[in-house]
Amino acid sequence: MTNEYLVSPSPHLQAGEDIPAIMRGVSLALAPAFLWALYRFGYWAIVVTGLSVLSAVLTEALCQRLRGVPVTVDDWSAVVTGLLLAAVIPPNVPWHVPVLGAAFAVGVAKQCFGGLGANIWNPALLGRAFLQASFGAQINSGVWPMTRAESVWGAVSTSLRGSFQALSERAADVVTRATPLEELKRIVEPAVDAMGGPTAVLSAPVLPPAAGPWVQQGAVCVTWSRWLDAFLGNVPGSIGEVSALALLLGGLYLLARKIVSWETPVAFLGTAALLGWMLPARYLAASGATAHTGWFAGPGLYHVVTGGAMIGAFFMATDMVTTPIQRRGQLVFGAGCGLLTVLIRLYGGYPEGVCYSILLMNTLVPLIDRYTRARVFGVKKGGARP
Amino acid sequence: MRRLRTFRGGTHPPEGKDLSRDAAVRELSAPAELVVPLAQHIGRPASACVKAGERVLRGQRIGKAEGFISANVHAPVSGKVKRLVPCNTPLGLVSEAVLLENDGADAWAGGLNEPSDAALLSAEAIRARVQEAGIVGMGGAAFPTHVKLSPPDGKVIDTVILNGVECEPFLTADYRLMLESPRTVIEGFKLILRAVRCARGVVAVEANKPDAFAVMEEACRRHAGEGVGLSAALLEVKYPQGAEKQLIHALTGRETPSGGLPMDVGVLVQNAGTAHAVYEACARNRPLTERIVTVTGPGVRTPQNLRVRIGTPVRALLEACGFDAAAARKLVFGGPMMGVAHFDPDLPVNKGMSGVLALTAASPPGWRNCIRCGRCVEGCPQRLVPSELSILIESGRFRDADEIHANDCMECGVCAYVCPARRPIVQWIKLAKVEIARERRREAARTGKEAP
Repeated sequence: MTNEYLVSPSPHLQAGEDIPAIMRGVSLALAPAFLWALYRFGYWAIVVTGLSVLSAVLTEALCQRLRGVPVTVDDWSAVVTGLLLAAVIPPNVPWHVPVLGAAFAVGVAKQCFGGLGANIWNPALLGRAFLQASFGAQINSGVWPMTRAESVWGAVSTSLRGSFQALSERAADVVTRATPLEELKRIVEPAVDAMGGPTAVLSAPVLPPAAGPWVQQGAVCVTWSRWLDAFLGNVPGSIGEVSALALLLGGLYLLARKIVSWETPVAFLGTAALLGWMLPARYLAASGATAHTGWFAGPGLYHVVTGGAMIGAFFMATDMVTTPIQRRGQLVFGAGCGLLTVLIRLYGGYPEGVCYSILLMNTLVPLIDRYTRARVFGVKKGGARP
Repeated sequence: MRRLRTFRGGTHPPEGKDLSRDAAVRELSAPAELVVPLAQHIGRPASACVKAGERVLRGQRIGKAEGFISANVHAPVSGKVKRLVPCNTPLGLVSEAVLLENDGADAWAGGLNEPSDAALLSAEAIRARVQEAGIVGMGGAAFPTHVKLSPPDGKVIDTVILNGVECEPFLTADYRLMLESPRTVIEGFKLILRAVRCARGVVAVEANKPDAFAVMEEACRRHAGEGVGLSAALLEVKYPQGAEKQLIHALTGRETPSGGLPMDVGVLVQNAGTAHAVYEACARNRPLTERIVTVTGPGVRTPQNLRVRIGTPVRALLEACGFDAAAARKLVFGGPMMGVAHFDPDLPVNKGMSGVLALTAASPPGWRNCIRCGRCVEGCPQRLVPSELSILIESGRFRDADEIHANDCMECGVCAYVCPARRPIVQWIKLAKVEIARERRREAARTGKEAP
């Protein structure tokens, strides 16, 4: 026995799951959403996603080389950032949009703060905010084609020529429609004629009025088919956020693997549903004036299945780095996100509020952590030392 | 189905107990030479009371306790004192030790190893026997047992817990002891109860040892009476279920105050092996000269539970179990979560050594930034925020770590075990405790006040 034995402090065991395993888990949980995007939007959605991931990984490696720290792209966190950024931008964007967005997300929002674990704001969402500020027209046009390109190469070549607009024109089965949230911004009250039946709708030129949400007897109504479309993902929107069902599947997978805890999504979606139902919504009255519905008249659950609520609740507000570490804090954080989301959607300037609400709540995380810290075992409340 | 008691937090590492749980305790014959350390316990080391060349009998005192918080050391074999030597201890210190040459006769000193009627012993007499026999906590901490049996005036013990939880992965020594010798464990437990004049005893067993629980429950029923209530409690399989404060909370709902002792909430916790040793001392007049050690891990071919003499070199235990010297990378004394790694396979077995692990894999070095996943926060049985502590300590901010209660860490290691960034969290906290103590001493020296 001439062995030399290692000496190290205990513990001498280590649980199996490491950071790459967690990040791969998150990537896998996004798979249903991207598969749906491939089906719904066609190849170009996946090309945009690939560009975003590639840009995120290369930026990570480049920044780490410049910083003189070990390159850790093998931890899969840049991949997750790339995927999440692609998930929250529309499919009809030119190639430079995901590339620049991911570069900003990783280079500025993450690496400038010290890399994984040190960033204050969710990198993908900060990347989206950057794109919104820089390419607002493409990112937030409100009316997006819901289309399928005929081939990858057709999509790539037209994209290289500039914009998706050209692509849309070439595609055979273009359906142009407003996003569900855009529709929620433009709720109308159909005029009623003397017989009690609806007459022509005054406003909303691009809307087939009967299909979008409308106001009837002071309450917001949504047809079942609209509801189902939003839940399944038969609506225009960002690449990875249209199908509530696909995201729910991924979210349940994350919950089962204990990568996320239930507190954040439940508080987020619960608050959004509650307030979406409770708070008065603005609409265009039959008289042509802007009016507000009464209290407790909103389509609460519709708020949960539309826009970025699902991806926000399960994938963004649960980002470990930028959210509270204590479960009690996660309840506060989730509720705050839900509140801000609904406020922005109902009364703000943008149709969607998830991105900014999470970014705002990210800012509050150190404060939430401080006030939700558990009482140490054996220490009296107030934390006085014996 | 019985509801299992437990605490908040913790984790469930792979148990690894299957390796040795079915191996009945086997006596390992005493080696030709033994190295008996004089520092095997918490407190002042014993001082040698034999000289080189002197003949000793088994059970004869060879090390005299120095003061109250110290413990006697007895000869584990009969034979000749060769000389006093320095030896390594698992804690990384060097202790003075008595090198004994075994004459093979195993002759006991006069009056020892003879049955006596423990039922007649008074509380004082039990404490005296325990003190004389050099008994220390055998779960690993090795705190002198007679000190725990002597609560100061005004501290009333109303519950004594027999800790048969053995929550450390791999270890099966207490399990085998309870299974094979429930009577001596319970008799010893009753002696402990009598020593602190307490009428309520609870035997705590983890749910992964249902057979041991059944045996102990039966023993409790048979031995209760005479004003003593004994019961057995089944606990959820979770690490660190056997941690003193967590065990007390799970069984009584009482929260031991920070910096306090179980006696502050009227509880005393004693390990199953300690209870057995108390029985041996009081009913058979045998001082503590042997113990059961689980020898296990992927680095041994036939994991076993061995009854060995104190002072036997660990190498002898490993070789008795088919040590795979080529594969073993790490030797750990105790369990894998809180045990101590040491480089020296010739280290002698001491009173607190519950296990010897030969591990073949070493965790890769290096760690990453904290990603705030919260697993350490979920797992910390003391409800600390280990992630934050780790970040503060990594950057040398010991005072801030003190502010968020670094000293309340009991070093169970759950945080470092679960960390996906592989951060050495508990290791840093141990470092911080040393630095905090140093800082407080410096502060005390500057202000001329006594250090708290």
